[in-house]
Amino acid sequence: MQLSQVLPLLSAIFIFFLGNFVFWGNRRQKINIVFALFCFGSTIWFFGTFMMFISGANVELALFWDRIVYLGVALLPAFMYHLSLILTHKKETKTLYFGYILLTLFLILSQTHYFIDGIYTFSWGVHSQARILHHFFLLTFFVYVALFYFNIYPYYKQTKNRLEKLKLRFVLAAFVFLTLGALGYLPAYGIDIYPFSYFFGVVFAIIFAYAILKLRFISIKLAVKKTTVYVTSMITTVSLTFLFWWLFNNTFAVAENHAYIITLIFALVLATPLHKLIEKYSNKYLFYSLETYQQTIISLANKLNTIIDLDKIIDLVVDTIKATMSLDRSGVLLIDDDVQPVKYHIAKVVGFNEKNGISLVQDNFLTQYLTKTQKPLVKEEFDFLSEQAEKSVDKQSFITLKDHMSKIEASLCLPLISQNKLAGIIVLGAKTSGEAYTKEDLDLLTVLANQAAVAITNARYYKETKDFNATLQTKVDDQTRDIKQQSQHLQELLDVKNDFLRVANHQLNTPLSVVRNAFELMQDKTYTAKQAMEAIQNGFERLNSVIGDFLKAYDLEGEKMEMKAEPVDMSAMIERLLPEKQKLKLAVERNLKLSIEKPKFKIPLVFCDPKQIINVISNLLDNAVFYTNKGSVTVSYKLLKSDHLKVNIQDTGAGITEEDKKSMFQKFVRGKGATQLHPDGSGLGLYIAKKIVEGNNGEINVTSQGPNKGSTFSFTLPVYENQEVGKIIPTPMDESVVIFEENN
Amino acid sequence: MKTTGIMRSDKGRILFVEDEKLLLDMYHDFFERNGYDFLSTGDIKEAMIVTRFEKPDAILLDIIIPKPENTVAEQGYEFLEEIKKNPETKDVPIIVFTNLNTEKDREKSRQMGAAAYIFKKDTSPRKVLETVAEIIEKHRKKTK
Repeated sequence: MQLSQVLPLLSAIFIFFLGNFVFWGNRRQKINIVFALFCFGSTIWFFGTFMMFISGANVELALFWDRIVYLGVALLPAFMYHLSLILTHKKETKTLYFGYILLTLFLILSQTHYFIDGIYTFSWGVHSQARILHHFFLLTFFVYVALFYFNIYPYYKQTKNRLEKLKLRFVLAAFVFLTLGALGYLPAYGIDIYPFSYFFGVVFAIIFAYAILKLRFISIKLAVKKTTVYVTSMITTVSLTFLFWWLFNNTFAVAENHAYIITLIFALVLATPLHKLIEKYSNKYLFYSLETYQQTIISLANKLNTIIDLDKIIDLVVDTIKATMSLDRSGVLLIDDDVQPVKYHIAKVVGFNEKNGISLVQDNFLTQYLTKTQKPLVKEEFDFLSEQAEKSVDKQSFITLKDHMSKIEASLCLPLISQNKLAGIIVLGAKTSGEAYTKEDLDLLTVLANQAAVAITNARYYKETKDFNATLQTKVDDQTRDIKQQSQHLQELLDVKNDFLRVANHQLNTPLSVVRNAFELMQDKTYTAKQAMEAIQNGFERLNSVIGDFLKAYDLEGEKMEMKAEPVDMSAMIERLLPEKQKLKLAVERNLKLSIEKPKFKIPLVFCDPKQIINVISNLLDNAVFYTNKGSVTVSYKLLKSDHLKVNIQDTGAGITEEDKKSMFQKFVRGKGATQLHPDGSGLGLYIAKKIVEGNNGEINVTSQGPNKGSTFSFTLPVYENQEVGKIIPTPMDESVVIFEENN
Repeated sequence: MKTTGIMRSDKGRILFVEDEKLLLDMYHDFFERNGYDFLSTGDIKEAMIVTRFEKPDAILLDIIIPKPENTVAEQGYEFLEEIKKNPETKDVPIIVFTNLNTEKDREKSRQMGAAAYIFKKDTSPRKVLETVAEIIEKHRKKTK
């Protein structure tokens, strides 16, 4: 048998299988039927050709088989044209019906002598000779083949659908090869051309099989895919077994029954791994998971029930679906709880552009539709749905939605329905294999979506409860902290109060004890009356001063004290005061030098309440004297840019630490060096001084170079605008007696 | 420090730690007139030194003794602690003599090892003297 004779046989077998595969893959689809018919026609063509080729010199037999060939070939152009209509989504045309009728006519006529008669003998075999009707048939043949291309090609050019374009490219390629098979007509006109063209049936079948499996060009049921895998692995196993048998028999001299057993063992060992191998490679390169992804999805659905972490659920759903179904994109949009109008957020998307994701649900239509139908929405269905829609608004909505889905390249929307409420949407892209979603896919995904919806809802409840608990905890913590702070604050206030009472007690008791002890000593005759009197007088004066300070401090508490401000000659006031302080017992004992540093400028009048301010100066000078063991106390002046006069009282005494400066002017403060008290008074002196100075629109502060380096107390007072007016209040007036002149 | 001109008295030597000058003068006069050897100071460091070298039979201790940065500093307690810590001085009886009049201060003084507590305002020099005499008497009995 020559190669030329085998080629049509091979093509016949391949195309026969392809036809069966497609037909049994899905008998209900028109495209499957027409394609299967085309394949069977081609099978007859190739098989008849094969029989004709091997007929040898037997003319009658050759002619018989060639007439069989034309039974197959005759309708092929019509089938092709029909396929082109289906592929380009067109309805059957009159041209098609005309073609079927005309070609059927030729089919009948092909059995006559006017069609073919006699044979040519070529080096590679024999071929019938064309007769008159054959020419007309050939014309019709090429017209319809041309119509096929004219139909497909422009559509192929124009379509924007990437997948469809790819499919059509395969279709065109396959048919171009098969059309080249028409070269097989040439020998009918006596042209000696080697009939390699019959091999194109094999090529055609392979291209198509690949396109069908890979691009889901024609819907093929899973069962058929599996059958194909089984048949393939069976054929492979049997072939290999025979090869083994042959090799074994030829290599070893073994008894035949032993050879049988060994071969049988070989076959048994080979069968399962081989099947698995073929299945694996079919899955990988042709089918993309025959069943594994379905199992994965089912187990995913079960797994979801055990997870309460929302993010984990979403991750699992998105990633698992995408990976196992081999999709280009997948994502989950969730509806925000209890927000009206319905608002979505992207829980997770992979492959989609995040910005576009939400465009799908911009209007409420998808939400309403999915809530109503509770069914998956496939992009391919949109045209159909749009046609079916009763209201034109809905039609438009479907079209808009389709545009949105096309824009983001989504193929499938699965509603996440829980408790009859739409919780969100799973949005999926296309399968990378190009296959469409089958009904099984959709059923499976619907089950998964339902499980996911329940899991998501549960997770949300769980999270809500958790968040609520966390919020409660935070609130409790906050309040506990507040209460703690308040209690701490109260404790501090209490401490301040206790401090004050303790200090007040001590400071009031001290002069009293002086008075009392003086009396006792006088009674005891240790002291003369004169001696006692001195101490008693001193005690009373101090008592008076302490009580006055306490009362004033409470007076100054809160609002600024009202000051009776008037123009005051500060320098005169201090000049009168200083000699008095120089006479202080401590100053005399310590031989302190109290002096005024005369400024270069004329000391301006200041605007303040003189009766209050003189207390401040007196207090500051007393302090300076008390804390200075030796050296001097110097008063100096400075004019500030802010139109204030600054009075500095500088001593060479004990000095003050940085830390103490801060609390110096406060009333009672907790901690070391907290309660600043004048030794002979209430301890409120500086606090009162600060209040008074501030009440007169000035500032008071203290500077020190550190312990034992002396300190400088300064206060400022505003300079009086009109310096011509002069008023001097040299010393505080005795206010214990007021004579109401007008009443005398 | 204000010291006495006379020799150490049999009645006893008293150290008065006090910053209040008027009171200090009064007690000085009174105790000396009653035959006591009377030392006094308002400075804690000085008081420590005096205690170590002059070995008083009793110390009258004021609590609130001001520092420059804290005019109600309770230096008396610091002094009390120092005295009781030092083995050389820990046996000297200390009579807290203060114008603080709280249970807390009394308790604190007791725990710190003071021999007596006198509230200044409500006492008289005579009472103080009697108390001092009693304490010295007790102490002398104990150490014999």
